Amino acid sequence: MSNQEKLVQAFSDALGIAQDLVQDTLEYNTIKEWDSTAHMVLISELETVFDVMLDTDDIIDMSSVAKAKSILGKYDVTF
Amino acid sequence: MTSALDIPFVKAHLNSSAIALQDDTQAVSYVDLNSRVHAQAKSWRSALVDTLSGSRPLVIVKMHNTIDSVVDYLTLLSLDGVVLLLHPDCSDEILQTYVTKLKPNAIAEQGALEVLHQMPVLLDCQVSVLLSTSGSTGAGKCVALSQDNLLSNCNSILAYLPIIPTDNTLLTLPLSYSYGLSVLHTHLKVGATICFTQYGAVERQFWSKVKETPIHSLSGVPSFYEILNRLRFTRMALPELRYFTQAGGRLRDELVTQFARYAEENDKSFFVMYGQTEATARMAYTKQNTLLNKPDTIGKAIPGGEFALKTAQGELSSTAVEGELCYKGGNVMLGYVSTQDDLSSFIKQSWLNTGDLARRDRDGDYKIVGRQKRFIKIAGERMNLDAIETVFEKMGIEAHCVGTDDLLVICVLSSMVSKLHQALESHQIIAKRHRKVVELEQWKLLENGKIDYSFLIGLMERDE
Repeated sequence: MSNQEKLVQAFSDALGIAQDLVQDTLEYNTIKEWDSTAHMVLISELETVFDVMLDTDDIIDMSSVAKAKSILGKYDVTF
Repeated sequence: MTSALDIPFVKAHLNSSAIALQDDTQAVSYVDLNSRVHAQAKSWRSALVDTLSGSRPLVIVKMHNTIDSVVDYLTLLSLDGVVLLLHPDCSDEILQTYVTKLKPNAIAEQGALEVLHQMPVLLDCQVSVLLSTSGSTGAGKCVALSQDNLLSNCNSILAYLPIIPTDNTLLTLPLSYSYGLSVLHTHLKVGATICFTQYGAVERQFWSKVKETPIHSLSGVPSFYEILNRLRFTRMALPELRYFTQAGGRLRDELVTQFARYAEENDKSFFVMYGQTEATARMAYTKQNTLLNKPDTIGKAIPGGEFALKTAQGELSSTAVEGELCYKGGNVMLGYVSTQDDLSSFIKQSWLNTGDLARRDRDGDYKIVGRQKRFIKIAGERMNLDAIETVFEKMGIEAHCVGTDDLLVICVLSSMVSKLHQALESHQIIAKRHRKVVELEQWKLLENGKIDYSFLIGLMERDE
């Protein structure tokens, strides 16, 4: 599975949304499934899937799918 | 100058130029708040009150965490109205159910008043504020509170929480929720500042606001503290933060201990509080020094309140060490309201049966060990299990629900499983992570023909 596929799968599982909704432009709090509690589930999922440990700034900056990619990029996860 | 509003928990500071309310873009002083409420009351009086031939108006308020909604609320109290505060996210269906049951004179939302009818409503002289027992998840019965209830609980809380006039608190709890409302009342009472923000704790702007305002106190339900834990809150530099409070369900011991230690080591205070809407908000509290040794305690009754345990024989006992937790105090509600008729008079009970089973230790601290009543909390919001069963029943599904905080367990017969999954997907009754479906071949019934819930609870616990 490519990193892109893993990312889509992680968002879809954590937020409980269809995979085709996981687009770069999808932002925090614009759909009701992506609320603060789901955000925490998402963070855990991304940490597990990509084997990284995100810090406070990463967690509060991860406000969109695009942002998630650039933050994961800091940990050498390429898309 | 306009005269000060005659509302017990707010009248003391209305001539102060200190900031009362603040959101992400504007701030309102106590003086300004007083004039805004007076101006709105003048216009609403002619639309709402003058036509009622002396009777008090009954109004549903969709209560947002905004300055406008607080003005709505205070306006209606100043007009001696009876208000039902609803969560701003509650659906039109829920709102309509309340309209049908209570037949209110009007609905207010963010400064707009929609008058529905001008028939006088027979209202008990004490009833003032109605709060829903089902959060935004349903149109459950309401708890009826008097101004005396609100003031009594406000004074009790002020006797133990270190709220001072120069404080800024950041209110993230809904104002339609008794805990959130108590934060508003206590801060208005001492002349402090209540801040609102559209941002959540997982957003950068939230923490900028905490640091820049600066915020002196935070309050939250367990899910809020789970987020703080994940954000490594205890490692953030927040020198201005003096204390933080947790209520709305049990926070796991590990986190209680962690936050208690953080408070102890950083010269801050951490309060764990216990309460119910039926007691206006608060019934018990404890602090970090006790929590470090006993993270699972709810502490002792608040000043002005009293606990007793009801034995299995149904007697209130001051010597029993385990039983149903019962509470007496000026903050015990007038009673429940389901329909408009219930508002005409109340028979006040002096003792409130909390439905929680508790144990008292040698120090006099209480610990909750179980629950008798049929409700659980999902992400801090109360969910009535019987009401959920009714929702399924309307869809033609016989389901019986049990659960613990943050997990609803839905039991159905095998033949209904696929129909249930379809209903869960299409109606989004509850988030996937907060539910579990248990399949049964047949129901186990008690001798009286009713569902044996202890059997279902047993199934749930065995599965864990």
